[in-house]
Amino acid sequence: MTLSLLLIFIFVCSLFPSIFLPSNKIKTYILSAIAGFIIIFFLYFLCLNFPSLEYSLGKFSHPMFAFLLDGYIELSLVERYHISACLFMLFIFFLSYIISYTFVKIFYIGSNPNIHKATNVISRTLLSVLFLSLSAFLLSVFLIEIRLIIPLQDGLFSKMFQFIYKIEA
Amino acid sequence: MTGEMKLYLLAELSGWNCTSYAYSYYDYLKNNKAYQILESNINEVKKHISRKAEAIVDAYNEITFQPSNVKECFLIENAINYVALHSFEEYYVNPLTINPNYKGRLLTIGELIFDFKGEERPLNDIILDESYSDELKKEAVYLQLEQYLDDANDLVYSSLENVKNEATYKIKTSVYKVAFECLLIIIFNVLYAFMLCYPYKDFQYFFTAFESNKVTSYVVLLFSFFLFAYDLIFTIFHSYKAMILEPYNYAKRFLNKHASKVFDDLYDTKEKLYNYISGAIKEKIVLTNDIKDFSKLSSSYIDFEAVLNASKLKGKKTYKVLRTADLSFLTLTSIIALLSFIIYLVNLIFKSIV
Repeated sequence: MTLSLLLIFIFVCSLFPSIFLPSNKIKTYILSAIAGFIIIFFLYFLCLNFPSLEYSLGKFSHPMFAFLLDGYIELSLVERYHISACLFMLFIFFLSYIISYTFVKIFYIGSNPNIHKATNVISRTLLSVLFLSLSAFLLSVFLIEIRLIIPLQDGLFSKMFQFIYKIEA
Repeated sequence: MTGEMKLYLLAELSGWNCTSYAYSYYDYLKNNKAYQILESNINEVKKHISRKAEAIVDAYNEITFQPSNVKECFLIENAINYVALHSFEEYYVNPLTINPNYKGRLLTIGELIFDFKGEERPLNDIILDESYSDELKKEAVYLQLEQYLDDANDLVYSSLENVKNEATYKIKTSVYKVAFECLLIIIFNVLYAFMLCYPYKDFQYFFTAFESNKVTSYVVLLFSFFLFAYDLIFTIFHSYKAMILEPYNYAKRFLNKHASKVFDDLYDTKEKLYNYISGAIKEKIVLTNDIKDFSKLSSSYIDFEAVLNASKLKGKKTYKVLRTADLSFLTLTSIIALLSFIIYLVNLIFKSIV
């Protein structure tokens, strides 16, 4: 088992819901995840361009994940704070998802699935792509970023992983 | 009734015992053309949602073929003739609850039978009849439309009841089951990921060091395989389930919040239908090609048919196969997880002793 195979498996698992789930359910998921996605995307983008921000974020959140990371004595401080920052962003995403989902569940009803049965293929495809972006893609990027603590070889997509997050040999 | 039976009826009423002739009439009743028409129509009647349709089905179920005297033969034959006549669509179809995909004989509301001045007549005939005033016709139409509206309201109440009943016992149990299943799958995956990533050499060794001469390696391999397979089956099954039950789930969400909107919508549609027919009465216009125009069975709000038939969807073969696979893999994964945990504990104890 390699990380590449694991990501392919995650993608396949996410593909079935993106195809079979009704539009209302996909929209529920998208509405719940979009706020968290925007926050962490914004944070991630800032961290990419301002490494000191990532260092500060990692330092701030390190106590939360010290139980997991302190055992990795071979990791440098920068790498540890990078993984802390990624785990913190994941935590923010889940928190935001739970809060948004509560509101969406109360207020969102959706549209009658029997109306406009001749589905617009383009809008359905866009919904599925958005769903995949907010699930499989997000999880994949997260796993690539923290792969230092995942005891799996990179595998087929190692070059892509190095492009996303470079690990010094 | 045949001439011969009329004679026996007269004899019976005069005091003669004609029971044997009543028994022999059984075959005639069963092979009667009216009864054959009724038998062929009754399945369609059962599918339609209206009080008149229900009344016809009830009347059909009450028909017995055990006459004990000739008089009863007469009554049974009349009942069969009456129910057979009313088993035609014109007599029971409700334009508010007709299936929007209806492809039967009726093409227009004008063909429906309305009660007017003690007679049952097609609406188009009533519209064109010059011997009665428009007001009388409109009054008869209004009364009939009120009955149609009551039918449609009953449909909403049944749907609400269905949704509430499902919510109070069936779906509540089902929600707990689904919640338990989701909790299990999250626990398995989170534990697996945690044990894989946690920098504890025993965990790392347990999960990553494959030794062909050790049972633990095979148990971990099996657990990994079953966990991944269960993840896949879980997503496929629950996605499929969500897909087939969406009309019901949407209707449930909508009815729980906006039931009054549905009633208002039905009332508005009835008023529109009344205005439409009144216009035709005033202008003496024959109605054509409008039988489905006022259907609310699958409205902009909810699909009543889906609400009332939700449980039938779970009888589909694909659903059953996926559900069985889901439960099987859940059981296997749980057993292997427990086995892995026991083996790991034994390993730990053995190591500490040694």
